[in-house]
Amino acid sequence: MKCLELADVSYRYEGSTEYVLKNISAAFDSGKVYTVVGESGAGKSTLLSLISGLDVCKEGDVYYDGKNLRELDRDDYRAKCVGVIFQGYNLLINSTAVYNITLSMNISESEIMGRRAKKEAAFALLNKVGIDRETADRKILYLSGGEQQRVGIARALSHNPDVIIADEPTGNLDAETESEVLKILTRLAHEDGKCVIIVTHSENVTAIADEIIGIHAGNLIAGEKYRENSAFHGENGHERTKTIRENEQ
Amino acid sequence: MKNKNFYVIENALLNLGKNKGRNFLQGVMIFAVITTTVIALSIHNTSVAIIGEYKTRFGSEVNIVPETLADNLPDITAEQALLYSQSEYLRDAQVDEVKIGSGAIKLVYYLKSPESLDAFRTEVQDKGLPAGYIVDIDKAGYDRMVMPMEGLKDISLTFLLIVLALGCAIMILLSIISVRERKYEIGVLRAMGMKKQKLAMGLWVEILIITSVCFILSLIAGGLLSQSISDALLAGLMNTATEPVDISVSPQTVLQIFGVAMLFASVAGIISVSKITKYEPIKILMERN
Amino acid sequence: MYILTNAMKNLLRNKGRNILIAAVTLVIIVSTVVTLTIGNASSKIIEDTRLRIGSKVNIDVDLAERGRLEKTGGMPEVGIDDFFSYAQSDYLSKSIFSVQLYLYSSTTFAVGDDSKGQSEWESWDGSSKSKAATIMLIGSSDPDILSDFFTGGARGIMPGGRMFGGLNECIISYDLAELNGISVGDMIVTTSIFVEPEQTFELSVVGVYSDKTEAWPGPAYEDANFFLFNRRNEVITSLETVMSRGFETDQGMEMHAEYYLKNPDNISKFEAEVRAKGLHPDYSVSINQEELDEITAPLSGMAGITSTFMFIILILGGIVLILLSFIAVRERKYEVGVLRAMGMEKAKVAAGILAEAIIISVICLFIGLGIGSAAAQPIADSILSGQVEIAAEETKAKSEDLKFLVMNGKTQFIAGLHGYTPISEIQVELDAKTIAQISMIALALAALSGVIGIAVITKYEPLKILRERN
Repeated sequence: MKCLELADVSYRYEGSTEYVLKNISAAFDSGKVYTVVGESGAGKSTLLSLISGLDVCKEGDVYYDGKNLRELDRDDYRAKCVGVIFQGYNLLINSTAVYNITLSMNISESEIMGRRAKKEAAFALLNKVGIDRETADRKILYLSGGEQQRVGIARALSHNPDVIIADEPTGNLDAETESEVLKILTRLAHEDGKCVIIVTHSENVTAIADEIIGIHAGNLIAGEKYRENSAFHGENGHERTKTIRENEQ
Repeated sequence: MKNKNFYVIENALLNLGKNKGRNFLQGVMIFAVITTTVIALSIHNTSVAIIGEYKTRFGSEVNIVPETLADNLPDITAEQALLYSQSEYLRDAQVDEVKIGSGAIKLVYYLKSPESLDAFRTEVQDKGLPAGYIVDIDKAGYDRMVMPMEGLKDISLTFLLIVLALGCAIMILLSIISVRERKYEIGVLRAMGMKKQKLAMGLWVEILIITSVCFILSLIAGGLLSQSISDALLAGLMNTATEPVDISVSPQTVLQIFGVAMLFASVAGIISVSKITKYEPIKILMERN
Repeated sequence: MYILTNAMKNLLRNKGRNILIAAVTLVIIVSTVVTLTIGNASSKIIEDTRLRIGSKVNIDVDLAERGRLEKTGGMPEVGIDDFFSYAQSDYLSKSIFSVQLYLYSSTTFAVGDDSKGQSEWESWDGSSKSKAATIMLIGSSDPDILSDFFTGGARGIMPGGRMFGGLNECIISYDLAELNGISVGDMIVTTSIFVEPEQTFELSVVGVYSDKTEAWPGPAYEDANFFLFNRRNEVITSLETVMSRGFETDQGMEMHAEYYLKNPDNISKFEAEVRAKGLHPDYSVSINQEELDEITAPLSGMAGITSTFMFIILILGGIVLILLSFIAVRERKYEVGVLRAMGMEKAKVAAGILAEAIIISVICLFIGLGIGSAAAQPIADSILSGQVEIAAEETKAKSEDLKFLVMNGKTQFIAGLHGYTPISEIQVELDAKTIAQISMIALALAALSGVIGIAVITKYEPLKILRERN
């Protein structure tokens, strides 16, 4: 099932004549992990902001579930259809982890009614990403980077979106946490059937991808697997990929 | 059945608690704004009331005096005086006789309202008032009493306008600052998909709560203050010690102040909304990264 | 210095915000100017009134108290010497005395005396007769306080004559002069009545006065033709002239005394002094505090109101300035970071910020002083003129209201006011003190604007600022 589709999407900043994205066409299916790669300034973040509904493309169209994003309410789209995991977490620092989740539920008009029920669901969700009850009741300010990232993931999942978009989700994490997070993301795609799109520099991340999409100077480089290209993974990456694949089976 | 938007208000309340220091400062400033407005309003209202009081008292005192101290001027008989007192323009049938100077007498009647002076004059003349008598209010005395109050009324109005202008300026600046400080938070909420209006409403609720608390405190403080100010005003300015005009913080004033407080809060709200409308969450969040 | 020119350029770069700051500063300064000038003018009037009205000492017999204590009999006596001894006080700025004496003259006849000096008075027990007094001699220690002779008063020295000055000089009324054919330079010869021993007063007429005062003290005098009390028969001379006859007692004459304190606050000290000198306890010593308050209260009320206005505008304006500079600071954080990274010292950066604030304040100070002083007079007029008129009228009324106490035949203290010319207008002006005060406030406002910027900016390390940007 085609979850997201980009048709001839181009983007440039206000007041600039230079296009940062040029005629991108791509399709994203549910149940797969995609990684978007490219050098700094290539346009990865821009692409991310377009598909996450944070911004609007100048030319071309973005389709979600067959519907043109231009005709959808972007706020609702962000609230209900996609879940975004940010590199900088972007959580409410002065609130507790639980509160961040329940607030997200409220914004997305979650079907769970009642404050208590929402809170319990939040605890459960946080538990799933490895945050216990005690940690969940602490203010984000007092959580470690890894814990914060996991809260971010939980928040992205809190309204059960079809599409999960992650911007460098493992950038600030240690190796152990990184693999935890990657495991979760892979599970989301392969077990829960979500469309997971990850923007990344990291080889470890691309190793788990089902499909790799490259952006270079605003242009789409390839829509196919990159596995064989040595520029994107070394010896270790290869093995890691294999390990993950094996575990899944 | 809880409204699906109730969380916005809950969020607002929680936010108030999360930033106690800053909200306290805001509260202090808003308190100052409302209290000073209360004071300005009281002074203005007091002076308006005093002028009204003077008007009814002096403006309605009608004198019938001989124009010149001519000997051949016919006296006004008691019957005539009584006749004149039967007038619909008069408060009551009271007529005072006051001796002035060299044996002449002036008759003093009390109008219901100063506006009916001309009508009363015509009536009295029709009733046969001899020529050579003037029917008029004590303009000089009235002017003397009222002029300083008129001056105060104008000045206090100017003052009130200045206070309102400054108060609005403060509210606007407070909104701008607080929205800017919470740019990140606003960005996060917008990224999560919260609608602009709901966000703005949340901020507005916060300001509303602070303003309401300040409003109540100001009523108390301002009420106390304005009472003593009014008393000082009245004691000092009303040379003629007559019935004291009671200007406590009347219900009308309270209503006016409430309106003013709401005005301030709304100004703040509008500014927040317009600022938020301009923000795109992506810019906020990207700035961070 | 380049700091100043840089500051000026910076101001022009962000016109919008700086115009806002200037506007608020201007409002504050203008209202301060208006308030201070009005306040200073009011204080002057109040102080002036206080010194004039408040400095007059009233020595009265408390009749109500006497009635309560059921004291009867004549008033306690005060002798001539006592009057003069009370006047010997460091607390007094001046004392005014006047003495009234009845005279008889066989050569100068009184106005209204048809008998031409032949009337006689019987003593109350009928045992003796004496010539009736025809002329009232008034000896005054200070001709300047004779209020009838003030400009616009009911009496005036006619051309060709002058006010009495030296010993044995006097002035007489036009009616008296015309009746007796007396002109300036002539002598009149009189003798005293009721005084032992009989004294002769040969007085030289140095001036003739026109007299429009009410001739008779009351209708009863007129009906009885008590011509002695016809004011046209008053002959006025100096106190020295009367006293030079060396009276030992004040038998047969009436002495009036007025005392004026240098500072009304010393009333209790003066009272203590006078009591120690033997003033009878039935007398009270006071100043016209009530009247003073009545007159000054509206003025201080007004001044109080305008001060309240200024105070409030200062607070609100101050808050606006604080908020504005808070916003301004954050906008310019980057700029400061760059300057500091370039090596500019903290102090110089701070100086630049302060310079901007001061420039705005100074400009507003000048404009504000101009507007304020132009506005102050009309505003003061509209508020205060009514009050001042009322004050003037009341004090004028008081000075004419010579409340005579119960006549004890000998000595009295005059309760009214002599010698007071009320203020009839206010001149509001910007004096040095006010300008200094306002300049201080302008500087304080500049400091307020600047300090916030300085505090926040000097706290940050340039690196942090620049990093935040990138």
